[in-house]
Amino acid sequence: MFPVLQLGPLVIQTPGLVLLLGFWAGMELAERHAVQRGIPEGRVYNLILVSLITGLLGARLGFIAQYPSAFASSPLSIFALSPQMLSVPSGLLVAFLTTLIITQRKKLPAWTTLDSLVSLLAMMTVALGIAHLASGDAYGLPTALPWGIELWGDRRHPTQLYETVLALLVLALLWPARKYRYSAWIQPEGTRFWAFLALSAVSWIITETFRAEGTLIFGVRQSQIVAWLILGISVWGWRKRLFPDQTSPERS
Amino acid sequence: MNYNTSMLTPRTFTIFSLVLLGLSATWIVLTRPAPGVLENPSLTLARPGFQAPDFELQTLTGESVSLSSLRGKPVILNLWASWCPPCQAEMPSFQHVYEDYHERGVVILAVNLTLQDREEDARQFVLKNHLSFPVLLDSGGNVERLYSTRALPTTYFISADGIIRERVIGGPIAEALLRAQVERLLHEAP
Repeated sequence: MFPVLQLGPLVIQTPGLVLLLGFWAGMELAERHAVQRGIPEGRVYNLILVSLITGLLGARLGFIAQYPSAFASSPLSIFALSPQMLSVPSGLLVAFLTTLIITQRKKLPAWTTLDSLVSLLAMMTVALGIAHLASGDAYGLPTALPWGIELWGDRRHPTQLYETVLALLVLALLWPARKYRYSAWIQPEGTRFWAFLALSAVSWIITETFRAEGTLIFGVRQSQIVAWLILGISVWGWRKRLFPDQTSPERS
Repeated sequence: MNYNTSMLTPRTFTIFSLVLLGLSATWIVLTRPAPGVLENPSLTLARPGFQAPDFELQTLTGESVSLSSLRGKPVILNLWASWCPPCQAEMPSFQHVYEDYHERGVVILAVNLTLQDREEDARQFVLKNHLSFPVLLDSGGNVERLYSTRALPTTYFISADGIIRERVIGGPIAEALLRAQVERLLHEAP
């Protein structure tokens, strides 16, 4: 595990660096897919950048709203480069709303744009697995299996590796290709997005099995129930996009 | 297998989806964790979600302080050295927060990593900056080892029940973050 890289007085958080690289690579890939699908060059790139900036602002404002008295005593802290002072739900909400507004105002095709953004999300999922590997977060249950890794005082399932490998697999399956012989299942508009959700849900269900932490509900993991529900919604959405004219499963 | 359009029909997709959902549900049920197998915060480790490793050190004034003796109070544990510029820069913020919160039971422990510092330099730094919270000397490097210190400064926010809630590696830490974390710990305190 390498949670930090110390270069002289400079402390670089390795997980943050990995996520940043993943974001950059994902953005390039999303733009490539968008151009292949006829979206003018730069539109998706700008959409992601603006959503990122507003998302970060939203996350910081959300944190300030949560602890206003902390900032009343030291208002300059508002500008501090501290990732711990971000409210993730607020940031995601603002980024989502920004994406929605820009997509509508710039008249971008919604499903094609979502399909393009899948490249970014898939790359970020890979980066998240590597970031977990660097930080030692999302660690596994103790195991006697030969591929177990020594971590936090025990030999454990390398859940961070499972997570990374599965994410790479999802990324490879959904790799942007103009025409690919075996990719009829993700060719119609919107199917790539639903396929990503479904495949990620399956990956999540598998990885969570070996995680050391978690909350149980009715004796099973809560996270897996959520992933299973996402899987159900995704295959439903996927089918609707794949066969838009079909009203009954019997028609082919 | 060739996924051509003739194979990809609504019927095959529906069957595939139902099989996938069924297999996933079966997997979730069959691989459910046995009672008590999921880890709880009883493990001792210097990272968020775990019990903070205990230690006992002497302060600059010669008193003995152990972390376990502070159970029931939120603790901010700062690992520092007098030669480290970010450590120097953030100390006034710790002093401000200490002045505002110590009457509400918040404890700040500044552990000087004396193996990589000099006791006299640490003492001079404390005097110069008028620090009134306890400054401990890790002369044997015990805390440095226990907390696997990779970078300075490192700050831990420990709840009243002894669990590390947040860890900030590097600095200088923003004063608002210190205050926000203290508010969070006070809010959690029984």
